[in-house]
Amino acid sequence: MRTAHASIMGLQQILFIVFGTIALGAAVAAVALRNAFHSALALAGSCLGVAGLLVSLGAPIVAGVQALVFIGGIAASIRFGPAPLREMTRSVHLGHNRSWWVGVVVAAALCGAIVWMVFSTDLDPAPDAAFIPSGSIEALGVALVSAEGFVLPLTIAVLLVGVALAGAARLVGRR
Amino acid sequence: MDGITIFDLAWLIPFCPLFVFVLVALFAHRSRALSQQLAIYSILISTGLAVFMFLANMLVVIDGQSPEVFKPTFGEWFSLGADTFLIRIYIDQLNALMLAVLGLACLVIFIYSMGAMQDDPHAGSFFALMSLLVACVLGLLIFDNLLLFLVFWVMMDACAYLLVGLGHEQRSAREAALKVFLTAGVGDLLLLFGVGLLHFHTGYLTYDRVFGQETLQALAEIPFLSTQFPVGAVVALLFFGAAMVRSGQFPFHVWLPEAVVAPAPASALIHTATAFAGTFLLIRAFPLLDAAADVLVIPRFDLTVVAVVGIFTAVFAAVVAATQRDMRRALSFFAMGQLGYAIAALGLGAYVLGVFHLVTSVLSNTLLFLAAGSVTYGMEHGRQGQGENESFELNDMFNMGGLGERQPATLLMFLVGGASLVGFPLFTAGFWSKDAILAWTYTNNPTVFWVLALIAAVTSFGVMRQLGLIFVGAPRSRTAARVIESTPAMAVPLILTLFVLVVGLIGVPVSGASFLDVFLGVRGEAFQSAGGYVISESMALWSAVSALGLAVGFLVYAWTPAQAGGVDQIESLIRAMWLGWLYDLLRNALYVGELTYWFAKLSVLVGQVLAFGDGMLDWLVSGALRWLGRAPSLALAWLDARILTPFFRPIDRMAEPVAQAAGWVDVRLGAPADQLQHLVRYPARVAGLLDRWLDRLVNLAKPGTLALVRLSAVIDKGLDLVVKSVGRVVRVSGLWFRPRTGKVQGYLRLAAIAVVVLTAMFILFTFV
Amino acid sequence: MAPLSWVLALAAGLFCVGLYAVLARRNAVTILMGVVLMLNAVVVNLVAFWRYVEIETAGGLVFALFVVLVTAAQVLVGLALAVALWRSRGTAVVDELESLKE
Repeated sequence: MRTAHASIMGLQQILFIVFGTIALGAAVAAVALRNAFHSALALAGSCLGVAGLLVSLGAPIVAGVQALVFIGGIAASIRFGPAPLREMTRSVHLGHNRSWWVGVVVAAALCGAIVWMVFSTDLDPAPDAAFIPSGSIEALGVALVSAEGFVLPLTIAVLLVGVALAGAARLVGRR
Repeated sequence: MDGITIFDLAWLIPFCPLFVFVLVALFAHRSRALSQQLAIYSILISTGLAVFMFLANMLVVIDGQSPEVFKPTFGEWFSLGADTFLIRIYIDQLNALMLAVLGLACLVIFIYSMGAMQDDPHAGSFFALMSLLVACVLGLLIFDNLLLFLVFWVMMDACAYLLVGLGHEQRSAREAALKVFLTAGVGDLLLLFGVGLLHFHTGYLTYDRVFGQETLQALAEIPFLSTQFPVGAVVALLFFGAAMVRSGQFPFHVWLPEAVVAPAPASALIHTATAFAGTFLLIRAFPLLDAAADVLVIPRFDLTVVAVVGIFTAVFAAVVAATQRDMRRALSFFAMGQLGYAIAALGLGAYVLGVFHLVTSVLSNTLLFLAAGSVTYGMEHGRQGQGENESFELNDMFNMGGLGERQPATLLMFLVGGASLVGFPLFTAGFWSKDAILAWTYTNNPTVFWVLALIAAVTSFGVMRQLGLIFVGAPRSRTAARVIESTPAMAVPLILTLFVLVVGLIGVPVSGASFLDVFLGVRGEAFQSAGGYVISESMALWSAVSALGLAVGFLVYAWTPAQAGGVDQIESLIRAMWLGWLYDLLRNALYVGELTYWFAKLSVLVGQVLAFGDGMLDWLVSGALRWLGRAPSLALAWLDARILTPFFRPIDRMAEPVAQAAGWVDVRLGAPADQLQHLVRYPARVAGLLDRWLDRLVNLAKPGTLALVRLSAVIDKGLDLVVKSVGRVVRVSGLWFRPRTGKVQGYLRLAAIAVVVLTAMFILFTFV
Repeated sequence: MAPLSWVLALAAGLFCVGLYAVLARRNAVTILMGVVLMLNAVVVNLVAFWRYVEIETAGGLVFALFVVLVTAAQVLVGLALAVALWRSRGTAVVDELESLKE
């Protein structure tokens, strides 16, 4: 139905709806499925949707990083990772808590609150920018590594990841 | 030459074996097959390149042109003062020739090792170390920086030590390795001093700067430490000292015979490589030696020293070699003697002849060493299962005999090598080189000629003795009877025999100058041998003398071969002449080895004495310090006891009468004080009365105060109750909300609820 | 162009789905997945605001990138911890981890 009116809504809107649905739907699947392994696959799908969302919003770099890290890294590690990880995800449990209803209530309440907030504020009208603003990649690169930019946080973040890597390797690698 | 030539690959020559060393040492040494493959390929590459370069040079010379010396620079190493050390390759004709010959010899040795190291457990380390040794020698020959030269020189020591110590399970190997290392270290020191002195006075270390004309002139002027020796002479002597140690000239020859304990190909390589290294140093420093001024009225002092040492070593080595029982030691002494010849030639000024003899003797020595290795291999196989006793020496020639029938290929190798060593007329390379030297001395220095000729005779005798003892007659032990021929790989040195037979031709003078003259003499007039020597007369003379030695040896050892358990015939003859002590002296190489050993022990002893003295000194000093620390307190105590106390005693005695006086005063003053007391009592009574009245007042007010106190207590309890109940309520409600389980999700749940509540409140306050 | 509010609403929805997973799932790995979903929502939020409000500067994208990086690090450590827990307790069910119980 929506595709019939594709000319009315822009390409970006279509992308948004498609990927948004994927993201949300896969997320719900991820949290609802009992088998942890299937949940992981659904998470990968949700990340894919989010990546698409980000592309539609005009940030392909972040989308790319997202895809690499989450889909590639996490899903792959759960699927092909160390044996304990695979065992953990394959053992079948009653997937949900005893008091899962608390979670539903809380999540619904929060969601409702935020959505209501969003729709009742007067946000600026969407600027009529080009679909994918060019030059953002270059600006991003410059901002990341220039001294008056974010080079220090970048260094710290990279160090953080490095340390996390080392720590994780140590934790997992010990036999 | 602007294009890329073969010389651009010159850096590969030392680099390939070095690379293989690293590979084998790190990865491949467990696999014998892999390490030997790698080593042989690297040697193939290096030798191929070296031979190509030599041929290229040769072609240019044959064309009649003068080839440029090839000097590609590889960049700066480091700067020191005004000089910048460059890593530079320097290949001229001399280099090219030596590289080619060395490469060939190494190639043969390596292929031979394939067969020789078949059963050896140390094969991996062996190939690694051999590659490293080859790399060091090649690097030494190629680079033109004295500092790099020094580095490679020292590394060769380490290699030799490790190679000799390969069979470290046996004690003899360990001791020999140590002796090798320590003696070689002396040479390193000498070289270090020489290089340092040179750099100090000139500021440069590259050959062209250091050996240039102006530098040499300057060095010949500067006196060394205000002695009459100029610096140039001292440096030249130091260099020669280092070369002496390295080539095993007397009295630093001790380590060469010890080095034969290494596996046969290793000892062959060690002898070859170190011979090249030492003589190469001398050849490169030849301008320095040549330019040394007249010192102590001796003209051309340094060169004379060189010649004397060389000749003496030749004599010494030849004689000692004829008395040895161990086959390998005898060969080592023969090699030493040949090097002595070459060095003597250099010292006498015949530069080209020295190089020629070096080349030929290296080839023949290698052949001989490898052949000896083959004999050892055969004897080892013969020994198995024979149940010989512990002291059975494998390499003792008196335990061999009759091996000629069982090892014909080895016999051939030994024969050709020995013939070249001796200088068998006309066919062998050794003949041409020896003849060149002898001819030169015949015209210039007849005494030397006769000395060398006699030594040639002794050498011939010695070689014949070896051949006879090893290969002729009946086997003198059970082991010898079971000797087998060695593997085909070990027969590869037969190729060398071909070279030995042919190479001599490069030195044959054809119409006044030989090829070698032309080839090397291109470098400059100073390096040409004195042209035009008489061929026929000297040749005939020394050949005759040498043949005499051969004949004697043949008669004694081959015609009537020694019997089993018999003693050396010549030895018994000498002992019969009551010169047994002389024979023993010779056999043990003038006990120089023992002397150095005792010298080393002595220095250790001196060190221990010094250390002991140092300890004594320590003890004395610390004792003195301790006494010094106590002295003041002792002195003070003495002072106090002897001087101060007697001084103050009268004062002490005065104390009592004073006290008595004070008591008397007190009594007398007491009565008025008592009376004062009475006066004070009245106000006290009044105060008591007042106090009682106040008490009565207070008692009246008591009930009121009590009531107040009770009221405050009640209020207090009430407050307490309130607070407690509030607290209880809070606690209960808190407990009701707070998850008591240790589960993380519980806490998270509470946090999420709190977040929601907060968000709701936020919304309420902002939007409503 | 989709209105900003839609995007924000979607992000809120993702966030809350992740929140549910954190509160109500029993497997340690699945809880971590919920955290990932929440952080994804944060990224979407950031990029949306960057796109619609402040597109001239690169700060928003940088922030989003850092969030992704930190998420990666956190997931790494979390998974490693889960593996370590599995190895020592034999279980990945969070309910059974109650050594902090009073």
